[in-house]
Amino acid sequence: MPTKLVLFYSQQQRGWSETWYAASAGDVRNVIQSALSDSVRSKCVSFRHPLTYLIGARATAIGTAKQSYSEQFGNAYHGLSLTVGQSTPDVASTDCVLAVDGIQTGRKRMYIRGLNDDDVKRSSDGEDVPSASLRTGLANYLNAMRIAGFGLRILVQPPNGGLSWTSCLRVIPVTGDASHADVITNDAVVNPIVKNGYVRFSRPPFNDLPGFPTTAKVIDVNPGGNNGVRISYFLREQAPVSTKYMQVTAVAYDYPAIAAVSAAATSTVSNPLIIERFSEHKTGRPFGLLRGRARSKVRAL
Amino acid sequence: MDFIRSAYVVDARFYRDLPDVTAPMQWSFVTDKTPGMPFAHAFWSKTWDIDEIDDDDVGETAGPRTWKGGTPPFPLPLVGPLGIDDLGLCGSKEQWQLGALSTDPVPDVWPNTQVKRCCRRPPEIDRGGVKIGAILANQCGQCAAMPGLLFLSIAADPGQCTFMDGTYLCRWKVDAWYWTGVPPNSADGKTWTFRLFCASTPDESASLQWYAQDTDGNFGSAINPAAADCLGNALGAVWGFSSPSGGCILGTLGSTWLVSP
Repeated sequence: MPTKLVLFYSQQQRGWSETWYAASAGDVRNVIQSALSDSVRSKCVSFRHPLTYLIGARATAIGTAKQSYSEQFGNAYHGLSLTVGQSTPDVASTDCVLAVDGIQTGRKRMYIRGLNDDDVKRSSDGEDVPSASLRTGLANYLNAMRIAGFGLRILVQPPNGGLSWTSCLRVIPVTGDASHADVITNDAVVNPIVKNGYVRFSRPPFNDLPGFPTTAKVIDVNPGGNNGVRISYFLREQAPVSTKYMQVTAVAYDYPAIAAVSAAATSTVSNPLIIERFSEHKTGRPFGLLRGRARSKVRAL
Repeated sequence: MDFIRSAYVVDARFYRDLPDVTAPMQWSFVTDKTPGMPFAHAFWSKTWDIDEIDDDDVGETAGPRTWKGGTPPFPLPLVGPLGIDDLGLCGSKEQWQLGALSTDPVPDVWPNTQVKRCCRRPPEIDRGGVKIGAILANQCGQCAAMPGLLFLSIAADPGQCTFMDGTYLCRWKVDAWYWTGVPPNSADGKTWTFRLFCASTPDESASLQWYAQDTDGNFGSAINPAAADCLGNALGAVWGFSSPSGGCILGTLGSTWLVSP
């Protein structure tokens, strides 16, 4: 059963998360207490600024039996990167975008936050250069997660992974009630769109369908004899919405393991660490007046 | 139970045998000292996995998420016996993971609360103001509502009900306040501790007698037999009475008392 792991970090008044996946990880409680061992937890945060803490983690089984387990770590795990001079972050905090590759396919970009300013220096060529200890720490983090069984989640379209494309179903209206939405299509839904599979909707009209998922799990196909798929979505005012420009196609998730990573710029046995860019952000809430990066959108009803 | 950034209310399914029945589920923030769930469960915040919601899943539905401030729906006990904000755990592991059954027994609640007894007892909420004023008007007659003169807190402890002399006596000791000067029925100027005794039968109203005990531990005779009844059972008794001096002591078991001279 696929498992999603979310790691929670905090640095003074800021907080963020990093997400990993596993194709199958067993009981989610064991994921936190065993797979995410003390050593792995340390490697997740030790290369960061000393005021960056790994405060907790949650693991969720996202198959048919959806269970979740979360745990707080208190102040047990924090950055150990030595800081020269200052003892607190200044107004800017250093972050980087890390490219993480699957063994055979797939690339995920991770936003690694809470780094030590001293670990990134701008060279005379204008290039941001990470310190050797930062490279080693990042490589240790990725390799620790790889060994613990965590990797990427990638969207596969078409779901069979081949070259043939599945047909797109044109959506006519979206009707629904308080628990789900029926996406009525022109044509009847057939394989590979199946119950408990996933579909992707192209260009949902968010003005008419606020919060409509671009990717959703299929609860039922051709519900009640009507062509289309049923997904979980609360249709506001339960009034049908005609959608002219939306199509539905079948997709699937794959959970490839990540490749071993070397801190060195070149290696004959492992992939080199790929840091795409560095950046600096102000401390405090990252999106102006919005409260963090919650995925749910709050609306007045 | 989970990590969230903003608290909200959403409909959720709690019963695995009633998939069409939902009820509001409100998220609240707790302190860092609150221990986490000891096992995995199905009632996690689906804000993290909004594309994984199924219609027949126990737990949150795909309904609208109405923002809430995160304040708990009832006062939480602050610190437990181990210095941990242990709020208690209601329900079995099976109920948390698979959902409850509609035939499962429902735990009792703490008196004067809507909090289940499987949770730690919430702190008492003082009851004053309008309710006491109303009782004054209905019960004491002679007393005028004078809120704010003096408030005393009495712990509600059913263990204080004892069987004595053929009746149940529920005693609530008011020992944090001394009435100096002339007590209601004594001219000797002693300092009295007023102890309230509610002589009641377990199932119906009974008379209230007000006794006074001096500093030597001697009980005086009953002072001004009750002008009002104890309503309801001993644990939920509501009463009021007047003393010869015109003072009133009013309230319910476990509530804050208003005392007027």
